Amino acid sequence: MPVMHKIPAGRLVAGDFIGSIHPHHMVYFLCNVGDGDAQLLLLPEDPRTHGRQAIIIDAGRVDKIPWLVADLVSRHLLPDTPAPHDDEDYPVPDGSIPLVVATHPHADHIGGMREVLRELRHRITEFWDPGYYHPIASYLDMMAEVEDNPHLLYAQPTSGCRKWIGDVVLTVMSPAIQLKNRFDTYGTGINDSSISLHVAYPAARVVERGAERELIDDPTTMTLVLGADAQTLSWSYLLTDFPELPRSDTAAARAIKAATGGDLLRSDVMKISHHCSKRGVNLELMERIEPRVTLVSSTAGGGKHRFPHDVSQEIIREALDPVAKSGREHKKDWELRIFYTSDRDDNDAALGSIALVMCASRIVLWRFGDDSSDRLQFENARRLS
Amino acid sequence: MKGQNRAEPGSKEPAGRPAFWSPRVDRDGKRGAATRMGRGFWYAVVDDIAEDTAVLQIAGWPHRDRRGHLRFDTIYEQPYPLDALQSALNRERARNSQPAADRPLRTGDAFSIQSKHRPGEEVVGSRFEGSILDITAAAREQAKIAMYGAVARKLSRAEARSKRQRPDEPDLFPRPARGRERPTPGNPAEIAKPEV
Repeated sequence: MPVMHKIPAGRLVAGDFIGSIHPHHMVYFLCNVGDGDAQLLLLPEDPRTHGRQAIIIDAGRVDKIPWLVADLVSRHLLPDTPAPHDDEDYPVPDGSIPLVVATHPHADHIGGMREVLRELRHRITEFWDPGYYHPIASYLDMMAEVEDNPHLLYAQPTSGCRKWIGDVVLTVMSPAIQLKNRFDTYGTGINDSSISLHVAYPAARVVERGAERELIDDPTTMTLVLGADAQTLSWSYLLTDFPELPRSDTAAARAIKAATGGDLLRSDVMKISHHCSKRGVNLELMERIEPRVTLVSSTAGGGKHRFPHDVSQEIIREALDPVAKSGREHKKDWELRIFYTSDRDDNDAALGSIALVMCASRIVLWRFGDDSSDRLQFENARRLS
Repeated sequence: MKGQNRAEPGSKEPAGRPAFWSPRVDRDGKRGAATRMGRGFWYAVVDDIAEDTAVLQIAGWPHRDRRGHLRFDTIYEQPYPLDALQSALNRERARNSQPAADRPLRTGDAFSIQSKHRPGEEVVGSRFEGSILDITAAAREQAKIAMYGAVARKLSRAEARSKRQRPDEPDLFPRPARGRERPTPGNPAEIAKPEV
């Protein structure tokens, strides 16, 4: 059974979540849907239009994401484009949701995707899935909705694909093309078909002053790795596709401004894959990513699979807080900045969905106290202090 | 997902509703005819296998809409002990003379379950009550059709025929016959060829 550390209630302070979001902030929501995923990335305001966009990654339950979008609209964080009636056709989308990603076709990731594509069709521009055809009803429903929408762009991206949306750049980390080419024979397991994403904000790299342009390497860029349900095989390809690049200070390297070094995996935030199953994470991966905040979408040992797995919990703890040689005990998970959608405080109150408000290398974490079937209420927000 | 915002089976169907889906099922090594199914049948797919548990996503038997999509009513999930499910399926596949009756259960395997009740309500001693038919091949084909139908233009039969018509001019670059051994290094067939 997993060991879950309760967060001291005194560390969670009620506050004005919506009021805390400034135009240049990016907000990442990891919704509590039990052992499943439903994520929304609220992009920073576009200074030209003063509007925001949102990216949706998975919808494991029917209502959670449409409710969240409706609440963001009501707080003027997304444009108030009138929704078509149920029996109306497909209007040209306003682009306020430029991308929806179905990471892979397991029910706990796409169980609500038909409703997302249908109810938000006046907003959604593009849809990605890995192209792994899985005969569950939810997959057939989802693809029927894709087929019915004449305005929806569609792609099956593989490792290395990059897309710039506003001030954010998405990099597809998996599946590797070698895995995708084995989908048809089921040579690749469905979890390893997952689209894992790397998100970076700001994506801007050029500063201009009149006709002068300068390339910058912004040290305050915020990055997230969203691990979907990728397992060991997928991560093995990822570790080679996204290497740690050694820096060279040789004259030859300086002469061509090359070999500036860096680790393509290092990230501020890691959403652990596969709800912290024992094959969803490994030590080297966690050491390479070295996240400041680690998030897990899972029940607390309940559900169908009793995630998170205690072996994986220990791997994450050891990567973030090595104690194997010293023999001392690990710090508490919340002290290591490991958070679960199934967290409870020391009054045994459920903490539920997680939001990260991110900007200029700073991360502020909020909890909403919702159950997996509840609507996320901004009024219930408590900030980790 | 347990019965989320979907109509319950048994609700009155609108007039002129298209027919239920009839999958082709192979038996005795022969390509099978379309098998009639409908009310009282459930569509079950292995959505996930973890450790000793198989999670089935189960839906009311689908019908085809006017555009040929399979449409499902109630959808829910049901975990089953893997061993018990495997034995039940092996037994039913053998009884129905279906190919590879004892193959190991995999994610994506699909079955029809004929039952008056929800299969999940009928688990007695961790086994199904009701008859089961393996429809994996037909279901996978439907999933492929759902994907390609969504992402690429669909052809009429006449259009598909016309695209197969060859130009009248002689073919100067004929394709090699299918199945011919390719002379790749290390190909045992190539190595075994007698030297000329």
